[in-house]
Amino acid sequence: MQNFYETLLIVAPEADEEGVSAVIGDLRAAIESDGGTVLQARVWERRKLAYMVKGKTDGIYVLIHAEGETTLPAVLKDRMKLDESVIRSMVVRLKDQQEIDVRQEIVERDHAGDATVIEEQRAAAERRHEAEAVAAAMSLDEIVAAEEAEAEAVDSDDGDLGDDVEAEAADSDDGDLGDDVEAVAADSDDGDPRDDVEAEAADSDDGDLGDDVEAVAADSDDGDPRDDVEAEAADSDDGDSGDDAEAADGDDEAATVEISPVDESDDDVAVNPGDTDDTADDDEGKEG
Amino acid sequence: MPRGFGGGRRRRNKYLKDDVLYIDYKNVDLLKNFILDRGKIQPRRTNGNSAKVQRMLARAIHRAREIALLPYTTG
Repeated sequence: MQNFYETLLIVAPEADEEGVSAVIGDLRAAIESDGGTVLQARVWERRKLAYMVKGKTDGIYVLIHAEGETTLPAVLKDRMKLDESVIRSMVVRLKDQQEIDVRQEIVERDHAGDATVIEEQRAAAERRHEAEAVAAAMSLDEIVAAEEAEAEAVDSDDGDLGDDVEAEAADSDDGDLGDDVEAVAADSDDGDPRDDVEAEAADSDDGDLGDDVEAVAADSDDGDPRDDVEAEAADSDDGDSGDDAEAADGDDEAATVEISPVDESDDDVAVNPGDTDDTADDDEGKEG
Repeated sequence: MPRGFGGGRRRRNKYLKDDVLYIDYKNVDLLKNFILDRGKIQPRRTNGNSAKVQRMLARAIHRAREIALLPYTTG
């Protein structure tokens, strides 16, 4: 299989245009004799070096993109070592999205102004990449589906890592890491990673008041990471009045939940406890 | 809000999103944001990079150093 290689080399600053193109021509020949194809070979930039290399303080950077077998990097390195005017060089393999992007860039450079060619090339590159990914993606999908079915958990995650939801727990996480919810707890977390709610506790910490729970505990947390609520306790520490465990709590948009609640907000879904916040209503609730 | 040592909310990276697919070692202007004035790579705890992004970043910086785009050390 042919790989996509990027070569960046520094030509000594004394070299004139001719000297540079001689180097490029030489490497072009080397690539082709190794069975590779040169897609692009040009002067990238003339710039100051970050440190002295072979006594030089600046250099002419030459960028070459080529396709070739795995022998190509070695061939290029050998050739560049022999060339006195090349003072530093590096060969790197590009893959995945970076390869696609670079290929695209080359096409655009080659056909500046010719939109149809660019579009065709881009589509071709994407097809190629998709075909490569298909097999892996398929098996991955299956695994994911199986996992989802297994755990009776619903995790709605908005682009986040590190959710850890255990059976019968739902975790909805809005931009945060490290939630850890244990069985039968629902945690809706808005920017605080340290909520820790224990079994049969529902936590809605969205800056909202008036969470209310019966026989389960609710923790409403407004930026305080150290709440610790245990079963059968209700804690709403938002400087709000009227919290009362096992009692109805009347607050603006609050909800009460009993044993099998449904939460319609996009935050939490839980099996036992329910948690509502801003947008949600409750069932079997006492107030709305 | 203080949390443990160091305090303060974790700083989010303002130059790189967590979902970048690659970091080009030739992009010196970008990489410069992530090295300290002595040329060292900025630690993750200060720039808030995800582990994945920090790995890509470190690789890019190492490559850039190799080809004299970035210094190994300064001063």
